[in-house]
Amino acid sequence: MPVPNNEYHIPRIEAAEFGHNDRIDLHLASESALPYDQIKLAREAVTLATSGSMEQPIPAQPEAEIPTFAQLRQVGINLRAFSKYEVDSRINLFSNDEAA
Amino acid sequence: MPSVFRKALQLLTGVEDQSSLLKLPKKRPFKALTERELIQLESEIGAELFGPIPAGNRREFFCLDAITWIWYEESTDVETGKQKSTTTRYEIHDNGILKAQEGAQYSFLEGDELKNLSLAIQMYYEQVARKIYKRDPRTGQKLA
Repeated sequence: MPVPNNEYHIPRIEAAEFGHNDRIDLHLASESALPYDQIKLAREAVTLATSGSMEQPIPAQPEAEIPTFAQLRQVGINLRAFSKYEVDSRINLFSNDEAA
Repeated sequence: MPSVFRKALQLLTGVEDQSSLLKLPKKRPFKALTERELIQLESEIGAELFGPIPAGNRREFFCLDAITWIWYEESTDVETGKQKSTTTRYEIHDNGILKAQEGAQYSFLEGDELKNLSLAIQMYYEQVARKIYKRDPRTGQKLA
């Protein structure tokens, strides 16, 4: 297993912290972030794997940062918080419109 | 039945022409996308992360919930013409990523598959955050 690099961070967003004022409270684990060129390298690496299966090795694997399991889980939390916010804010918009 | 509804509404509101009351205001861009539909949009991006999909095949890759990622691959056997599909569920735990497939034992990912999935999740997040939710993946803030 590759050693996860702690320099990569994914912002920590809790669904419960979403308000309806277009503001998200963030709890950043650190100030560091994955540089854009690293993301580009990672993108190219996976795009090269056109076999249609994650079980196949990626050819010409560049140096890409591997996030920790906690960071990967945070991705899921963030994504579902984003979608929940979209759905909730539309419902809220509908309710406000009807009330007016 | 609609006429009964109109009469009832007329009795309640006292307005004879109910057409204006029955229409939703057009000024409000209410797009009733459900969470499921948003995830389907995400999956369209997810499916393309691994290069072109062969003709006749179908692929889905998406984040189902905070810890679950789904990989679905559907293809047609060239010799028999039969369709075959594989659904793989990846669960992210504190101590690793558990892989679950129909008819196969649960196993923790390792090696290239672990690396590829980790990179795919990063790329998925980066693209979905920007393209669907219009958010900066680094900060979570809405993009201008």
